[in-house]
Amino acid sequence: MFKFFISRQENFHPGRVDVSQKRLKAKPWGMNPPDPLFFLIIKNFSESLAPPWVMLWLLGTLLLTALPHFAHFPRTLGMIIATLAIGWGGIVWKTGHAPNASIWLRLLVVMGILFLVLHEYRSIFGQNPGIALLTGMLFLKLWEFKTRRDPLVILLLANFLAMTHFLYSQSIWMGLYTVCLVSCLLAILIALAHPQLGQQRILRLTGILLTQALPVMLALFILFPRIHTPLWGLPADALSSHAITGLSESLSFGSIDQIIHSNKVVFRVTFQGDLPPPAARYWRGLVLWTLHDGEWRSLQDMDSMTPAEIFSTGPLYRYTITQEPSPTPWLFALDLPVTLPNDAILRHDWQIRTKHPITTVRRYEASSAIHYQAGLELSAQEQKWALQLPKVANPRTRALALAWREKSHSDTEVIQQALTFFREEPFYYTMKPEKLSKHDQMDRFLFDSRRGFCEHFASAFTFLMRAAQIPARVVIGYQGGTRNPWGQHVTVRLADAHAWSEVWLAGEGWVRVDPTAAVAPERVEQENFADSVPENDPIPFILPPGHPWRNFVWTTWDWVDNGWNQWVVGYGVGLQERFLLQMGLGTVTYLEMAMAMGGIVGGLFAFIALFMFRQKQKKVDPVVQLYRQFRLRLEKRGVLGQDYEGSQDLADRACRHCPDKEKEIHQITRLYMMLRYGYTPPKNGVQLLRRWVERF
Amino acid sequence: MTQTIHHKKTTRRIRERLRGFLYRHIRTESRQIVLDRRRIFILPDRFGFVFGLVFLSMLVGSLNYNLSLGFVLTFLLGGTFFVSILHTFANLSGLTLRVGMAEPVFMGQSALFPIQLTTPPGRVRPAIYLTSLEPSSTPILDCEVPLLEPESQTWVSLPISTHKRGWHPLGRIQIWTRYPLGLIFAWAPALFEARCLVYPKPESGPLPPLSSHFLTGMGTGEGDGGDDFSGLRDYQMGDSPKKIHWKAAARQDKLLIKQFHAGGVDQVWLDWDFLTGMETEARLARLTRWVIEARSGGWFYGLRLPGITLPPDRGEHHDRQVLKALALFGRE
Repeated sequence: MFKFFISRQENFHPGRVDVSQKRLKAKPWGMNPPDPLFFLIIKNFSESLAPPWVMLWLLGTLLLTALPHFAHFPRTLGMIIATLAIGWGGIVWKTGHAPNASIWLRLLVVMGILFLVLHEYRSIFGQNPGIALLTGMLFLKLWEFKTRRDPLVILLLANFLAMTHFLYSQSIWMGLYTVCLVSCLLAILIALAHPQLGQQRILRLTGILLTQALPVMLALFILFPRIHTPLWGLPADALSSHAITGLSESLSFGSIDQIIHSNKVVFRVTFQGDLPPPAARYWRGLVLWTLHDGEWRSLQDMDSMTPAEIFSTGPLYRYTITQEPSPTPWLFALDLPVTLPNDAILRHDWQIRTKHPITTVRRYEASSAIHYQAGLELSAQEQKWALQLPKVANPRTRALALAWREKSHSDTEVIQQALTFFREEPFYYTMKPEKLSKHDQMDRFLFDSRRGFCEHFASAFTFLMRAAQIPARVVIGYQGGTRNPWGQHVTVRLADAHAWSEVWLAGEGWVRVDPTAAVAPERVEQENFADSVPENDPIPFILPPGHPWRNFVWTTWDWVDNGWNQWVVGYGVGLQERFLLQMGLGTVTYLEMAMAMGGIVGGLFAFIALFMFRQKQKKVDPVVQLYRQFRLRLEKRGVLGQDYEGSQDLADRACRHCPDKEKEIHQITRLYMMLRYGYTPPKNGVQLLRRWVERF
Repeated sequence: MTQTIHHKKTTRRIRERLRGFLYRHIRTESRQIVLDRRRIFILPDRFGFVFGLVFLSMLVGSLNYNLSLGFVLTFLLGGTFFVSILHTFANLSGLTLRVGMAEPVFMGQSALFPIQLTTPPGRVRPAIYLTSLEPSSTPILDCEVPLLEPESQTWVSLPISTHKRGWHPLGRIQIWTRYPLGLIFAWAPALFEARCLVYPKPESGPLPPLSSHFLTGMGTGEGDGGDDFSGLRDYQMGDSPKKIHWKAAARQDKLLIKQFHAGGVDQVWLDWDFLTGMETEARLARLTRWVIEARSGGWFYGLRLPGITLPPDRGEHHDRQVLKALALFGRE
């Protein structure tokens, strides 16, 4: 069967017998004729497309390129890919030739992969199914290895596949890994085109090319215009792939508890200037107004309202936040934010919403006031929202609040009584509170269990305030964070999640009250340095807890990671604008940016060209140079000097050709021979020769 | 089918036009060609454009997802492609091409044109190829040049297929490279004055024996192949040094060749007029075949063509002259 195939191919390319014969000459499997079944799988073997080592390199790099994706592929797909790879690699290893599978088998595998992807993701469009399909097809393509086109298509698409890893992680490690992958793919590209160069030369060439490409890459990276918005909508699964699950948009007993044990970084803050005192490091997140069924929720109505006024009464803190990708559109800021990035919207209750999804690390600059008077006006509608309570339930809590109300003369006194209550009654701050049934939750917490976590205290306190007719709301976000001694930045982790309350007082506006601080002041006031590294922190190097280097490694790593996130991953519209401003370019249009890019890249190109084409100038003897000039002049007169001709012969011939110049020709030739070959070259001979040649 | 052929013709015509325009500065060179800026052309090839597509999709992906590291990777790849243009160009730049004399061949055989490549100091030049651009020279053979060391000279034989007897010009050739990534194609056209003599294709198959036709004039000629010494004659190019009469040469001031009396039968005239009723080319083919037979038989043979008579003789020089006369018959 395959013989027929080959002969047909030969007829097909009558003009290119030499090439096609080489390419399609079948290579028998070992010595013995193979099993007939074998031909159902392998149609024939390709020859001389690439030496076996290039093909094995290709396979290895392709496997490495796909490797990080295996974690989220369906297992069966992983197995199919592994089978395709191992089978192909084995045959190449054994025979030195790439096998070509029959079209039926390839179609079958395509159907299989399609089915698996559809079964797993319910679609073939979107990020995850797309990547799964691409990977499967790349490995299947190995089994069709006929012309130069096939490996090249694999290689070029593998570059694209390498980039898709960034959809899941943009860490330093992934960056390095991917750059290594692309280097390998480049080396294979060279090896495919010119296997005769040999491995060493290929690797060196790859290194040279990458080194020269580096400045070009840098220039383009910095200057290529970035945009805020996606060019078109992102697929539905774009956000879920790598975003960390942070705070949810509601609060109930036990909701923060789910994330508090994680050490994942949520964002890092670098301050320009002083850091605010530890007790003031409240990172405002979501503001929750409505209580329903034991669950505090945000108010949708706030989205369209203009922010309430904030009067700063102290210094402003300026800082840069690099926030990790998140599935929700909320940004964090130090309580209370005064200035915000352009693409952020401050809601009426000072909750920050971004216009663009946080699909990758987001870097933004903001400033905040920690001493303020804010929201002095409270509208009737707001007051209604801020006093809303479920109709019945929690009678003891309500009674307690009313009792305080009656005893007190002012709202402040009620608040004081509540805090005193938390401080003096036997409340415990614990990471592992007992589960309370939904029914009369507040009562159970305040009078029975009394063991709770920030969410319990904030929730109960706000309930009490509302019951005492003081407008109040719950704020969730983060508190504290770990200060890194290297970079003076604060790293905020999921474990720093916190909930507190805000009450509205006439004449003072909204005031933050943190009941947790009353119970466990150390939770809020402690300055967290990196020496309090959590025991289960996933640091890059495996050092046992208590190892003297552990803290050092951790802080250094945290510092490096912050820099990476801030300056590389977070390099977007904002940073680019700032950078161009600092360069003194001001606001730059796309056209100007394109021109600058063209100019710089062109300049680099010219520079590299200069470097490459700089001839190793050999010191040429001036005598030889002058004689060359002389020969050129003779050439103009029609006497072409031949390589084999001696200078005397040339002179004789030239004299025959132009007898009028006989004297000069002989003069020059004689002087040249004396200068070049004579024992005692005449003094000033070179000058003389120059004069004669120039006059000639 | 006809449509495709027509289409191909159009494509070829367009290509020829384009070449004519691009190569308008390229003149026929008799001596040597130095590959410089004006002579080297450079363009991404088919896969270069595929690379461009992948690059664009990576760029769009990075923009859409706002992937900073995606930009890094995309621009690293793009930068590599960009600087590789220089490497491709530098691989050809500064090379000197010279062409030597090609040995005559029989029609149908490949003429091997020796081409000398001189590398300037600096870099090694790997992965360089030579190709004939003449449409007549099919199949198109890419001739791979071995790795060129700096400051070296390398000879390469470029095979050109022959389809007509007479002088076969080398025609347009192209030196090209896809170094280093295989995505960019750099080439330089070259047009040398070199030509190769193509003898007629000898007739194949059984042929009428020589003797029955051409024994006229036998025994009249004088040869130097027999056993009996008959005298001395002047040296001619192509004579075997074994036949030089060294003693006589020492006495006189020139080389002399020993001559022997031919033994009668092995002297023949290959005569055009004996092949009446045949076409010109067929006659030449048969004559050529006979020349080969006569040569291998060690005979003295002469050639008579209309207007040309070469007296019976033998030796390499004579063979060449006879074959040349046959090759150029009616061509000059």
